[in-house]
Amino acid sequence: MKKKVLLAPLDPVHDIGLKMIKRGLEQNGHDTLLMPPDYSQEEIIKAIVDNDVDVVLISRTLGYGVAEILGKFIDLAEAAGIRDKVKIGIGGMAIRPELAAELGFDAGFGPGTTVEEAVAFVEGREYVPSESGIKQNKKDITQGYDYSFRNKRIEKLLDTIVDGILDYTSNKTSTAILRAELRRQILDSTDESEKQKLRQEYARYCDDVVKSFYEAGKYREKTRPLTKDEVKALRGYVDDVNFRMNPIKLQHTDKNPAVFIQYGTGCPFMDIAHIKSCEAWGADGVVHFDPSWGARTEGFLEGYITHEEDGSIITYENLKSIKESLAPYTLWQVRAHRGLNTPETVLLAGKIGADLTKINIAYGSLSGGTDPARLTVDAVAAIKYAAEFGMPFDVVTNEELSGVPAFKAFAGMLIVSKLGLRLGGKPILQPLFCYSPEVMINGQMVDNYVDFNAAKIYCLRNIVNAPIWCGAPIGFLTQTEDRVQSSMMTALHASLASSLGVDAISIASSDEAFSKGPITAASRIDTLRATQASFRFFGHADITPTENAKKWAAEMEEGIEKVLEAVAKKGNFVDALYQGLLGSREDGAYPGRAGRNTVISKS
Amino acid sequence: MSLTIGIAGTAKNTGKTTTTSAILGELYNRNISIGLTSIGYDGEEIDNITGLPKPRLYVKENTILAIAKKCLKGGSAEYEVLETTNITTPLGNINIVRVVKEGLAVVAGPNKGSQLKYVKDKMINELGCKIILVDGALNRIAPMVETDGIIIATGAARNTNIDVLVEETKALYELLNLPKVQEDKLHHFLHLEKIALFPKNTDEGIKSLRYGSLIDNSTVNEILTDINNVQIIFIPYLISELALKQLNDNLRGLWLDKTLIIKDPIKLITGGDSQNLLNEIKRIKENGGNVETLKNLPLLAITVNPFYPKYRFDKNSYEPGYINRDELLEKMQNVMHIPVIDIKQEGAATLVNTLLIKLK
Repeated sequence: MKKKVLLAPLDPVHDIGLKMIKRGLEQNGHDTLLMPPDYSQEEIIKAIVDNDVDVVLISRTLGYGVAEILGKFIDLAEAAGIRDKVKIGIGGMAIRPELAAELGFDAGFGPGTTVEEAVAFVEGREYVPSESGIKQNKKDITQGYDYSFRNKRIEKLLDTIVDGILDYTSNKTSTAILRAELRRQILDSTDESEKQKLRQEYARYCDDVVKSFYEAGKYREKTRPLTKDEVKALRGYVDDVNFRMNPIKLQHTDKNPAVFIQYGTGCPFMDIAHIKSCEAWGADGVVHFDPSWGARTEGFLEGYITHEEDGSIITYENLKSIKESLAPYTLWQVRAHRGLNTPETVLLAGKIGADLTKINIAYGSLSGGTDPARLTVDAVAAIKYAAEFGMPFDVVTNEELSGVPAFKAFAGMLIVSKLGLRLGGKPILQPLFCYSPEVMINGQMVDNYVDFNAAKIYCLRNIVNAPIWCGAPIGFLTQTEDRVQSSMMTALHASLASSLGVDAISIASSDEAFSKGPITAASRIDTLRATQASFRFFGHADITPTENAKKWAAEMEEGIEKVLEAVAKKGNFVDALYQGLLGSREDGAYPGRAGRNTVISKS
Repeated sequence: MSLTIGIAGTAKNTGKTTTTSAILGELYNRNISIGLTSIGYDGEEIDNITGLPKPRLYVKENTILAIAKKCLKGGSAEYEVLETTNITTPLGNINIVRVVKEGLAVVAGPNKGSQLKYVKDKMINELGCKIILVDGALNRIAPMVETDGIIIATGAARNTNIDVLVEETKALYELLNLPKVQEDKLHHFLHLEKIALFPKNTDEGIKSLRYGSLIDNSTVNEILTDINNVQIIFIPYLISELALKQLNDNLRGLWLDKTLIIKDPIKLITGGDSQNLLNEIKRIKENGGNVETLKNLPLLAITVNPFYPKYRFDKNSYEPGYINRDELLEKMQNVMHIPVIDIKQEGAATLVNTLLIKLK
């Protein structure tokens, strides 16, 4: 039905939004009257009466005293006897539906309101946002990649190395692998007495601190079980937040990558609060961080457990509560890339329904602190679990942060990726988008942060057709204590990643390195909003690197090939790790000691 | 018998929520069935995820609330929905609910007078509420016309000058307590939707003007035509301060033996600054005219709060500031013939006693 609409800026200057809506209303066949700016409230009220309009749309851009002025306007309308006859909506930069409700308007339109939304209000229809603005499905990061190698020489070298790894591990096992098998039996068993027996056996393969948990019910220091009330409250909190949540979408074009955040406050409650905040502000995926001591401890605990320090304890129950709190479209990654519980981590993640995991032998043993032999044996078992549960895994190259040059880290990443492919897995390449020691020393980022990061992507694309997830997090070491600067850096790195056509990125909060404790929810929102704004800014437009990017990409590819040749020549991947071929002591990489001499020969 | 009470604050931090909470608590102590709603809400504290306000009022079992859909999960209280009304708000339809588990509530209710009337009638006639509290703010006072009286929370956060504070509160008090039209004459006005000029000579007909509100110069001029024959000027809707001043400037001595009748004090208060409006009313009286209202909206009590957030330039932050509490109370009490209470110090017992006398 045709409506008569008065559009009035209750503002000294601004009325652009109303002009756009006026056009939209006219295109939909409605009569409109647009008042000039800077009219008094009484004059607007009189115009409403004089013109006998059905709907009034007020705009107010200025934020100063907005609540007083707009509340007063509605009171005037009511006192003038027109409030029941006329629908009144308010729009402006400082407007939210909640504020509109507080002030007595029928609707409130904040930033990002579409003309269609205002037209729907005038016509008394429910506004159904276009599907592009709603989150729907989980993204499959690996979709569309066939893992074909463009650089056949590199592929051949990788195959040789992988043959060696499989040969090396074929007659070896570890307590971690045995524990994972026992964990599977515990989870699958329905007989409590059988479970107890299995737990006793499990405890035999654990460190003392875990053993005392199973044998005497003792908790490690700075950890405690959540009470029943806390677990119940947690579920109530999740239900409550889900009911109220209306998540936004970060991506502006199909080209924009999926955006992951990392959580691991130690407290499952706080983790979930952070996850829900990030989901609300558009994060596509979340990455579980476990405590650093968890990586050096043989065995996992059981139950809902909270922890006073950073990193959230991996137990079946903790992970399950996280999983149950997630929105159906949120991608969930449980990291298993380092440490002494890699196979069991992947098993638990798979059993509970994680979407992704993280495995890298080179990083885990050169910068993650785990013995190379042990992690190689464990990683093969872990990758097999990942393949069994259909969980793609990223192969992170954070050893760059220790000082390992990108070409060496990439060689390690490609080896583990090829191993993954051989075992039926779906690896995702995870180059760092970072200001690493390598570029600090060699100066590749003196002029800009674009070229060297672009070179990494060009290089990997030249080698293999595989998904790429920039991490972890992007822009690492370019952030400062200044949250605006940190958010800006994150957003620019995100747009560079998008311009390079990568599939996913991990972002930090704006206080990630400087919070001096758990990071704050507000600082997470900083970088999510900044990333969204940056995606909007660039759209399909690209960032153009200088000639250096291609030059450095070629050098990197050459470097990778040389490293792989050396590893293949060595004949044993584990020895190559010990001897620094994939990152040396001079580079800043030290073979890890956790789990040294614990590989068990099957014979 | 029932009583609907509006509670309005003159500014943030004047103690409106403290007043409402204290009255609620006192009514719970006395086992009186309560209805609670608001016109708009006090959205000072906002939840990060939802943008909803944090709950601030503690409600007990069996309290009846009229709140928007989004508020149902906004606090820790739990509800049984008795009716989902057709009243829409930007936070969803208004639901009439009964508290089944006590806790904190987010109270955002209907925002038009007609809607408030609907939920009020429902609460009184069908759900047996004896006292209905309507939480509001002074910049949203129009729907309060549906209440039986209001309590105003004011104090240092509004103005740290005690004399100014007393003067403006007194002006509000006087405007809200304008004399009522005699009961037997009410029927002449109740159906009128436009400004009506009643002639001195009752044989002549009532002249109905184009507008219902006295809003600008053109409506003033319409009244001025043939003003000599007019005895009563009835204005059913808004009276703006500026237009009333223009009318006074033109009429001056012509007000002699004329009466300005308004529908209710809210139509006046919304039109401008209370003190200026009161000055215009006084001018009418000084010139021999009268001002009456069809409906009264008594100011039942005033709660005062000596606290204000004091800005420290050197620290770029706020710290608690206080004006002289005793002086504030004494000066307020001297000019107002209603309870003036420091609710934080004294609690709501006296206030609720006053309300219960009204109720009886």
